[in-house]
Amino acid sequence: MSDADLPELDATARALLSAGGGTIEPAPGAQDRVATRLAASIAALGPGGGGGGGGASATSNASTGTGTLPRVPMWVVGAAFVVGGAIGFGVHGAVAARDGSTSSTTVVTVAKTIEAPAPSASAVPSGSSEAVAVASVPAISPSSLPLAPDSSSATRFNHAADLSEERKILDDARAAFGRGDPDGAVAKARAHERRFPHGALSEERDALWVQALAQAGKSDEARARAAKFEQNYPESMLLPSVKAAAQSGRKVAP
Amino acid sequence: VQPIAPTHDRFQAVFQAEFAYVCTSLRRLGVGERDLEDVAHDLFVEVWKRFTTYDPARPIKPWLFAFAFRFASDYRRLARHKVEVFVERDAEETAPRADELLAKRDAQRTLLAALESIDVERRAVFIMFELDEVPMQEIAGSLGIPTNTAYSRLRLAREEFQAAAHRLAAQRASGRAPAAREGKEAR
Repeated sequence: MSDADLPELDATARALLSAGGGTIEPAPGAQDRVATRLAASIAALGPGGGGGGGGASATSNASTGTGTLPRVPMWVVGAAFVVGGAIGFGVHGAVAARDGSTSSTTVVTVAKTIEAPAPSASAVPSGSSEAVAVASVPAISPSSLPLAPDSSSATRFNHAADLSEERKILDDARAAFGRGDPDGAVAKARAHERRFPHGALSEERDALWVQALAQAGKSDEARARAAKFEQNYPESMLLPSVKAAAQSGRKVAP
Repeated sequence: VQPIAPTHDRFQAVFQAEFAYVCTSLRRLGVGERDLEDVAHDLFVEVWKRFTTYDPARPIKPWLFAFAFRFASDYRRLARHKVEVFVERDAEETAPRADELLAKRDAQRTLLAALESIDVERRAVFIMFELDEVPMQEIAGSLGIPTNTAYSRLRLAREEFQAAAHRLAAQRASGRAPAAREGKEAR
């Protein structure tokens, strides 16, 4: 099918699209308010996140224009960095502990640091950037944080190369899925798993895997993989579509 | 392969440039104006977490739209949001506005009303194709669906949109505003 095969919209529908199209301007000040909250949330995430260097980098630019992520006070940055670093260290400790390379005592100590009582971010009015930032720091669940990236240039280079290779494999898998070749998509997902068992795109791979199985009519296998997906990524935003695909046995957007 | 550059500046640039686009997309996908900032905030936090997975060689808008689609879908599943977008119109219209701006907002509300009549999965394809002018291959890739499925959704969405456009035009001609649909459950 192509664009030319579709029936055209008539003049009434076209006129409505034309008249009502364009940007719907958000409320005055909305971008600034969201930017303030966003800076606090990103700072609270600590090292990791978008890979930009964590809490400190989230506040590295001064607020000079509309919607710019604002600078928050240095003591907030410090708190975010310390807690973020502790979280990163804790995650590292947890991983290392599973490998038997460090003691679990470290993990317990850090976990206590993270779980220090504090008001939740949602309980703080959005109008106060400092209050939001302070409240957000300890409210982050360590399980929701990505592993902190190593900041050395060599590691960054390797990370970029790996990510590029990961993306290439998954692009091939998506292409196979898109042309109605679920077996090909599964084969690519399996290849990705062999090469990158804990890759940055594992979540996307596993979601696509379930959908390919569903597309292939392998409902039992799709359901089993969906259950494993839910176990591994309970907070995933892909989870609803993965479950829907497994339950219905039809294709659902990842 | 180039090493990954520090991403904060790029993320910030995306936030500044695309905030309005994201908000527009969320509104078109059924997020109420009163919840827009909360949903946009949560969306951009997720964008930040996944920013290293974005391929700069690809257009940013379809990538962001996929986030908007997912967040809007989750939002709409919550029962407390099952009120149509038009409940806010009275508050909006209490402030005096220039005729031109008022007409534009009226047209936007009418468009939102027509979009609201389309199932959200089909609506996502329709918005990207008809309003954002994204090529169909890119739409399919962003939403993770086969291209033929995307075309099927667009075809059905066009039929639904056209029917809604005529219904709304008839309502307008008879003097009834789109707000007559107020209170109906969002799909």
